[in-house]
Amino acid sequence: MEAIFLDATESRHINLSPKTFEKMPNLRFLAFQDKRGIKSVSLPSGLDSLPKNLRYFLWDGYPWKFLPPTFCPEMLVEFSLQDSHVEKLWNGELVCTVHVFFFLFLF
Amino acid sequence: MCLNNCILLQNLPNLEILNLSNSKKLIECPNVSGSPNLKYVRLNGCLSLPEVDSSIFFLRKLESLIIDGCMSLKSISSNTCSPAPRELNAMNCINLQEFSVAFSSVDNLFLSLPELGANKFPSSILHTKNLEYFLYPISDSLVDLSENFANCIWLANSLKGERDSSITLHKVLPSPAFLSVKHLILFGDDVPFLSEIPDNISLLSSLKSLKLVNIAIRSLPETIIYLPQLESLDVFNCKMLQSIPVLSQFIPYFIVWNCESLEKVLHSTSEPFYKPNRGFLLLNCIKLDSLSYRTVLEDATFWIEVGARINSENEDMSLYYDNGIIWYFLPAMPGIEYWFHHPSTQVSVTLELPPNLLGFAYYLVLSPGHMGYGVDFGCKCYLDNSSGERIYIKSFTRSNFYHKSWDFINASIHMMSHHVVLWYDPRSCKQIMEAVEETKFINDVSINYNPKLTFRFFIDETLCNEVMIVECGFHWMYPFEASAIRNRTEDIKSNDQEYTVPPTNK
Repeated sequence: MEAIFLDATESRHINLSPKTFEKMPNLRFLAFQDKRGIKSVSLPSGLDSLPKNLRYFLWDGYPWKFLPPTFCPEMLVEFSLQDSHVEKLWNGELVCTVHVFFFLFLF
Repeated sequence: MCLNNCILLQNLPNLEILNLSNSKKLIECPNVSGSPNLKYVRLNGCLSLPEVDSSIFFLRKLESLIIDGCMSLKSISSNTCSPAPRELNAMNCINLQEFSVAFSSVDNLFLSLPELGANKFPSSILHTKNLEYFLYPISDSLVDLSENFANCIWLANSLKGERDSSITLHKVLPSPAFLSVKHLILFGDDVPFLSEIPDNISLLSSLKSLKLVNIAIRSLPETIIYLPQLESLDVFNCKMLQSIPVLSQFIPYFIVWNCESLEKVLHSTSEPFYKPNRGFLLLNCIKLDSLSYRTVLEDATFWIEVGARINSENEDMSLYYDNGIIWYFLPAMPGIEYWFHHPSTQVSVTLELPPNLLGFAYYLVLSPGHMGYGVDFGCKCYLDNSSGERIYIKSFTRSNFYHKSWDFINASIHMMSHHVVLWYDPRSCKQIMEAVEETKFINDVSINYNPKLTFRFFIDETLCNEVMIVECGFHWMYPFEASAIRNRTEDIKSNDQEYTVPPTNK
């Protein structure tokens, strides 16, 4: 699967598990659109991961305080979290260790 | 923490758009130094955001930074911002005290700021020149801005001002930034403001366009006619507007849009100076009284006939802007029938042109409904010449709503009632009349030969098909001032004992 587009509707609410996206490594386009603020997608137990190959990531009303710490979408071109509950984009310990070392050696 | 962010964003090298708007709990602005390709950063409505990370001002490709309504921001400062973005919008950051960003150049910048603390502009703003747009609440401090400060100044209502903003506007209009401004917009947001436009607006000798949106005016000052450079006046959504002077002889493009209380269009006592009218629109002004409506129609007739006369004198109309097309878009009200010839409820009409024409204008009546902004109206004419060849000549109004549109008004044009579009297209008129003459000349064996023309009226639009043409036809114009139409207008006048030239609105 490479793309998910979901437009929020009153009639259907979805609870996503923290591991929802673990088996979607090829996902390149993810959009939960919710222009009317219905908030039909919930994350009752948080989110462990997001696909790392995303090019386009839109989640209106993203319900968690931060993004999964392992989320390193290097290919991402558009990133939109309108009306979200984020306090910081990333929270927690350092990730993407390869890059950390690369970065530290460079300087 | 910073190291964490820096590294993480290092991994978003392709990122072009970052949109966190209305994330009300966001308390940490992302460091974007790892995303050198970022072009658009939207943080509007992030109410808790305490600062804008300085890395944003180092982005080489930044086109737009929107921090509108970030109410916790107290200061925005950066020693560099190079190259400058096209847009920096910090409106409604009501707690902003300091704004000091050293832009390398502001030539294309659209800068929107809230009313800064201490009622004084920082030196970075005072020394600025040649901004593209500057949006700021009406306030006394505007008098300190320099000459040629901005190409377009956009004034919004002040959240702090207690007195009537008309007084403040009267005070700031004679200042350097305004005397040199080319475009001025007075814009009431949710609450209409500004009860009148001060008479000293006439001082703005460089002003080319004036837009009045959502303001509480009841009339327009007639001194607007003394603005020598003014090319367009647009009045949108001024729900309290009751009367306007006839301005079409002074301003080429005059738009009055959704001003539903407008009742009176008053004759001007001033002598017109020749600045030919090109377009006049009265959309949804449904309360217009019949005398005012007649004033408008006579004005339309007059200017269209002036256009036809110039055209018949072989002046090259194609040198004029928009090929010299003159258009009117008005509510369709009783009285308009006197203006029209050859009315038809079918969009396709076949006829012979009347003899001795000076020229002709088209008209069509539209049913109520929605239209997209890209809409245009036209008429396609075809005739068969002597060798059996079919000649097509097309005419559009080129009323160009798209450029008149304001996306904050509506996604489409909504007509509450029937409207009429009249237009004169000198080029197509001349082409058609010449084609007729040519065909006559070739067929001169029979002197009375007059070729039949088929006209097909259409709405050029792809998005909405709600609006229909319910009637269409022509306005024939004859040489000499005392044409049949003129006489008829005079007849109407003389039959109406109450008709007097109304006084100017003072």
